[in-house]
Amino acid sequence: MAKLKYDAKRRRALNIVWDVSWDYHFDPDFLAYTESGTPDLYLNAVVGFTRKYYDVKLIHQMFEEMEDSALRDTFTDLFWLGLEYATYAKEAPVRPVLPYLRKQHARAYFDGTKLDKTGVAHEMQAARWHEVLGEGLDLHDPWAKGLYANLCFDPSWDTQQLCDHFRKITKKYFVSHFLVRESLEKVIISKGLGDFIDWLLPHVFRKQESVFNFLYSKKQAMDILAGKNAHNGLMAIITGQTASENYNYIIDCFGASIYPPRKMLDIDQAWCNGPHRGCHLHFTRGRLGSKGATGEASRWLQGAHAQRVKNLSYYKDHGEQCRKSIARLTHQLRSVMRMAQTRLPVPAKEGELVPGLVWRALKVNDSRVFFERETVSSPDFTVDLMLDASASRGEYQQVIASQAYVIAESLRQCGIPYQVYSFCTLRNYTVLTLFKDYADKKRCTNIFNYVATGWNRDGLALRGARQLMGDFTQTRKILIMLTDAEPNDDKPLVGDGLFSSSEYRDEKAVANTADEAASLRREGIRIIGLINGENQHIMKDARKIFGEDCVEVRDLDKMADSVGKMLCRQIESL
Amino acid sequence: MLSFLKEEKISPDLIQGVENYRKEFPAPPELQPRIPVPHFHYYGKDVWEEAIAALLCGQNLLLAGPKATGKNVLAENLAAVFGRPMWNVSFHINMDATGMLGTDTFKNGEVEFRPGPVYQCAVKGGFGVFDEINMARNEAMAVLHSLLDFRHTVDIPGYDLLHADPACRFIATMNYGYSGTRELNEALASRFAVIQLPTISMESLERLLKDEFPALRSEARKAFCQIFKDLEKKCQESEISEKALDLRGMLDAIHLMEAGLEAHKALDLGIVNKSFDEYEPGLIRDVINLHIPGNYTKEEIFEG
Repeated sequence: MAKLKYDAKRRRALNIVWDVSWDYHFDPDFLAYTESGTPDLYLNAVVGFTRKYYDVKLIHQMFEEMEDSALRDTFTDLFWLGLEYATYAKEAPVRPVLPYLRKQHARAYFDGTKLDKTGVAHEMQAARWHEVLGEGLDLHDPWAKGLYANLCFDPSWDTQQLCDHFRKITKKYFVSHFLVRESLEKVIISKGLGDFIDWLLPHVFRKQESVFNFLYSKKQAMDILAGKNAHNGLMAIITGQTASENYNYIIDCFGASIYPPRKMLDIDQAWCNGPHRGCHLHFTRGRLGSKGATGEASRWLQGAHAQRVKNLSYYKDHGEQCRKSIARLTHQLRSVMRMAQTRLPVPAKEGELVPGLVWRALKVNDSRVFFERETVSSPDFTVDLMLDASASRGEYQQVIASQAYVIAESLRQCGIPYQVYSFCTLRNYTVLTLFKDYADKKRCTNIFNYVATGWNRDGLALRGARQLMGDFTQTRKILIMLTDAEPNDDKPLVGDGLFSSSEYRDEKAVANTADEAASLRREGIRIIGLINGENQHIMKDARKIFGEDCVEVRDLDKMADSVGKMLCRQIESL
Repeated sequence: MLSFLKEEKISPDLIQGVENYRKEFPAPPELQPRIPVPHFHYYGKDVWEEAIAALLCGQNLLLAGPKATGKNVLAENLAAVFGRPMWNVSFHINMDATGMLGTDTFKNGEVEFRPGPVYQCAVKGGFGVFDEINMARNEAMAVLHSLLDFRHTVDIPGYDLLHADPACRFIATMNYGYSGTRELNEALASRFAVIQLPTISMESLERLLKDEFPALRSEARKAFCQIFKDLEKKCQESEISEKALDLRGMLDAIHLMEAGLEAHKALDLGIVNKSFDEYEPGLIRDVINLHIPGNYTKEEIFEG
């Protein structure tokens, strides 16, 4: 649910920007939130006005320049303050509500807790909102008065003039003010001091100094994702598994993410919390070949290629068996889908006359001597097939790939939209490799790229599956999980207390997976477990996760019937 | 209505054609109550001319367009302009021949035919409006093929051949994107002249509000129109569903304001609350807040 809330806030903030800019492709560098975390109507509108009236490429460059500055947050806020002034002047004549919104924003500013803060940006902003409310500026220092006057950007300027003006005032009011000698400019405007502050303080603390509440520039999203801002422990540095190394390794082995950086960051923040705090989710379509990969990643890719050859060869050897299974499963699914659309005849007072019933009208005064057809139809649904690809599946890899192909091909032949992905966990990343998505109509031969490696953090993988399912207001979802029901990960299960973490294995891991499955069920997703493993308690654990909706599938022959029964039951109950 | 067409500067030849049609096919007194008296006018010279020309040439019309483009308003306006009784049939997934043409019923110990709306419309020379035609299955519509093409007949099994009155026309409406809608097959689409209705322009919207609410202040009118256009854009970009893009709802909300309800509350009733999604109402309210202040008074909205 955290994801939904987070996404909703960002989406709402973006919509405010788009409402006023009318450019729904505009992906702003900044979005504004109030202290309570809700999108700020006025400031996001200012972002939209900036898009409407100015060249956002130049504005973006301007912010990029500030990115390396030690006073980045201050400069960012001051530049926005200038833009606010100019865009307000331009927009107010065509949007009569704007003075009201600006005053509301000014009042909200003085009602908030930011008053406790000090600093130039705060001082300037307070002066602006005082002015908006018709009060005195409350600036006494001539330096501050001068700076404030220069932050009232002339609305007639074009973007280049705005940027040039801002560069001038930063030089005049910051370099010259603290000036002692020319070289100080480099310290204040350039990267050196910024890095030093980064080293002293965790990244977030410095960023939250922004009094304007603008968050998440694109560059920061990429840096956080790539682990550049993470604090690595001593062991991580010694073993070479720093956050940054891990990220690169995952990209090298599994391929780039299907999502842009900022979206990935959103996903991490939304899903990798609670018991999975500190973990990451990576969504990929896999990678072709091993070009550019070196060392461990290169060896892994060669192994993956060899496994594909084995998977295909197994499927060829069992071709007849697989074809029969596909035919049986397809038949079962088609029957249940036809049943779901059957038009049942019901007696009615009008419709198609049934001669055999006419006597009832004459003798018992029942005029329902016709049949009317009542259609019973099932709602639209899609199927997600999720394959456990942890190292424990090693010896079954070929069987699992063929089983998955049989299910996928049957779904395709019945015209049921489906997607297939595998999951495994290594180096803190739970990787979901998408072999086929709903939109793809071709045979899913990518399933034979299935390769088992690492751990399986099933709980987090289920959250990842929820992400891949996307919006399902119009369709129902059925998730089929092909697994050994033995979740395991080297990263512990994070508890609520300081020392309450426990290993992600056995009962606790099963309980976590069961919790995550229950959470999906509460959202209306039907989950079926296809269990394939050696452990004698396997079905006992599986039932904890899937309830009665699980079945043991050992060989290809029996699989079609077992899966067919489970799937048909779910379709009928939709 | 004819004076409205003249105001709209519709081609005099077409207006003359409508007048001739009305003289040729006067509506009998018993059908007068079925001739619609439109509450709203459809604005758009080009669309008017295309529609009148097609109907004068004996063709059926298919009005295609997204929500709130005035499909039903235009259909009703056309029936009124041509002075013909109107039968409205709302299509749905289970629509079949009996629902359109009629069905057997049992009366006084005998089975008899109970005519459906399409049958009555065809016999009495009315204007049949097939609302959301693409909600119905194409197979179900196949029974109408002979009625909609040059034959103008349909064979009712067990009864007789139905000949449509020469004054009869059919006007279908469809919204391509609605959930539950399907593609029209070629056979059906070829029996209609198709007009793609544009989304309502800012100018037409302002005219509409001016006609409906003469006391509405110009600034308020512009704000409400802009709210509607912003929501329309948001729907086009799939940020919100079409539930909130409701022109009738907007008009209802302004009526509520006229009656004394606070503006934001009225818009909640007319527009925002129509979305039952968890997040959409927030997006819609932001659009509203970006155009009207929280303390918008009745005096600021209406004159006098």
